[in-house]
Formats: sequence, C-alpha cells, structure tokens
Amino acid sequence: MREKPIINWFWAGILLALINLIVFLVEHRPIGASTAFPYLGNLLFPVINNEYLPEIEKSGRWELWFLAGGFLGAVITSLITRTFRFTFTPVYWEKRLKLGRKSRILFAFFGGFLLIFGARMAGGCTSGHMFSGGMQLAVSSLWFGIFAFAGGLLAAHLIYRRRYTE
Amino acid sequence: MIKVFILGAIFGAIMQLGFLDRLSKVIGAFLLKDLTIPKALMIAMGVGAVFLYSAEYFGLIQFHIKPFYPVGVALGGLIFGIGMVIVGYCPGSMPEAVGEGRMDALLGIISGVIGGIIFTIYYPVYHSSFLHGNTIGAPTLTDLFGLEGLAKLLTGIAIGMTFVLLAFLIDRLERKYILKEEEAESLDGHVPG
Repeated sequence: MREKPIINWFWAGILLALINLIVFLVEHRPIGASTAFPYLGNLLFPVINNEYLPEIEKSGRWELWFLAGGFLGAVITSLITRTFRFTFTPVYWEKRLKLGRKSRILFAFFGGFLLIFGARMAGGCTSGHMFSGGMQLAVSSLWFGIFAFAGGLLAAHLIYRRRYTE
Repeated sequence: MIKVFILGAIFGAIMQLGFLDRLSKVIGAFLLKDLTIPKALMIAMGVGAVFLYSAEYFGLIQFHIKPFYPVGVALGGLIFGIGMVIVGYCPGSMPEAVGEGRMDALLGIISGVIGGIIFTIYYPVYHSSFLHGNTIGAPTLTDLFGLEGLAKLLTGIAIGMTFVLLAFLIDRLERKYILKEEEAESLDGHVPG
C-alpha cells in the first residue's frame, strides 16, 4: 500500500500554483531553488576569479531564504500531522528497493552532486524550470522537463527496476 | 527577507503535506509506479498558467522567462533527471525532507553545495563551450506563434487547461494500469472530477 498524502495531488497542485502567483505579485520573481546551493557554497568557500557569483548573487540569496522557510514549514506541518520521522534510510529504500544504508549514503552523495550540477548547467531545477517556467509556458523550461524526465526514466529503470518489489 | 522566509514556509508546508518531498514519490514516479508528483506538477503548471497569463494580461505581473540554449538545457536536464533518481529528492524538496526528519536529504544538500562550488569553478569554461551552445532568446510557447494581448491570454488559458486535463488523464491511466482495484477505491476517493 502506498503512503497517502495529507493533501492529494489535485489540491497540492492548486496550492502550488497559488503560492507561485503570490510570489510573482509580491516578490516580482518566480519561485526557484537550485541557485541557493552554489550561493551557499560560495559563502562557505569563496572561489577566486569568480565569474558566476555576481550572476547568481541576488537570486541565490532569495532562494536560500526561501528554502530556509521551506525547512521550517515542513518541520511545523510534519509535527502537527505526526508525519515527522527521524530516519536516515527511508523505508521505501529498504523494503521496496531492497537496498541498505551504505548504498543510501553513496547514492545521496553522488546524486546530490549531479542534481545541482545538472540544474546549474540548465539554469534551473524542478522549481525554477518545470514548475515556475512551465506555468509561464517557457520553451526553455518545457524543453528541460522533457530531458529531465527522460534522464530520470532511464536511470530509474537501469538502477532500480529489477530490485523493485511490491 | 522575512517575507521571503514566510513565503518559503508556506511552500514547504504544501510540499510536505502533499508528500512531494518524499524519496518514495520521486523514485516511484520514474519507475511509473506512483504518479503523485507528475500529476501535482501538471495541475500546478496548468492552473498556474491560467493564473499567470490572466495576471500578466491585466498588468499585475511581468513574466520571467529563462533563456533557451537547447544543447546546455538538454544536457543539464538529462544530468539533473539522473541525479534526481539517484538522490531521491529535488533541490526544492531536500530542505522539506530534512524538516520532516529525513537525514539522507541532508547529505544530498551537502553534496549539492559541493556540486555548486565545482560548477562555479567550471562555469567560465562551460559558458563559452559547445556544451552550453547558442542561446535562442527566451521565448514562451505563445511567443513562438507571435501572439499578443487577448490572443496570448486565451492561448495561455487553453494550454493551461490542456495540462489540467492531461493530469486527470494520467490519473485515470494510473488507476487502470498501475493500482489494483481495491487500492484505487481507497486512494484519493474525494478527488473532484
């Protein structure tokens, strides 16, 4: 049996559209997430002869605050709805995919790197490209969505398909 | 910045309540076993297009379209999609996953920050290389047809509504081919339409 969300996909989608409209109205920009990562990296380890930081500084700072808020929001709702679970290896990872803690560490580390590197190559992620760009019907973002989905399908079927058990 | 923080908290609450920040939903989507995220994304895109094209028509907002460089966006998208399946989270869902206690996402954030530093170093080379390629402006679908004013609004709404219909079509296909019948009845029984 799959986990049933507190709010279903339909209402989650409507609320996400609404919050992006509000961000457009109040902040005069769309929602985004992936520039927060190189921005935070540059705060911690300044890169010399940096051509990238000036380009992402403004949106990086915005997205870092936005994601910090996202963290707090999730803490609050997960405590209220009693869905907070302090875990390292997700149950799905162990039960459905029959994988262990070591592989979770390895995968989380390798995947996180590819995730942000790919997002910065393309200029956005699920939030900035697929979601914010998609609802503006941006060609670049829909193009990104096609290739991200293709990459994900390919990787999922090569890596997890044979391990998956109902 | 407190305003941005509060907006982020609302976003995080929606993501967490919709379980859109879970590894099981990300990997499930790409294994074509659990289409919660693709359906929520289609609804958000479709309803969002109706909202944004209306707001833009009445001069309430301005669009922010990302530049279109087909080669770099495609390569980045492929690497991003592969990375998402391996880590099990999106950049915008990792903080929420950590917020609900999933510490593997914290590792994803740390390696994402390292990825960001390495990209910063590599950026000058990448930006002028064939991997990035030429930029062809920053068009929307309505720009491709050269639409303005009311025609742009109506086309935006029509495409948006198509996305919404597609979400319900995906839902129907999921119930028919992926979920067992008894599961389908107990799941999301109160979805409108």
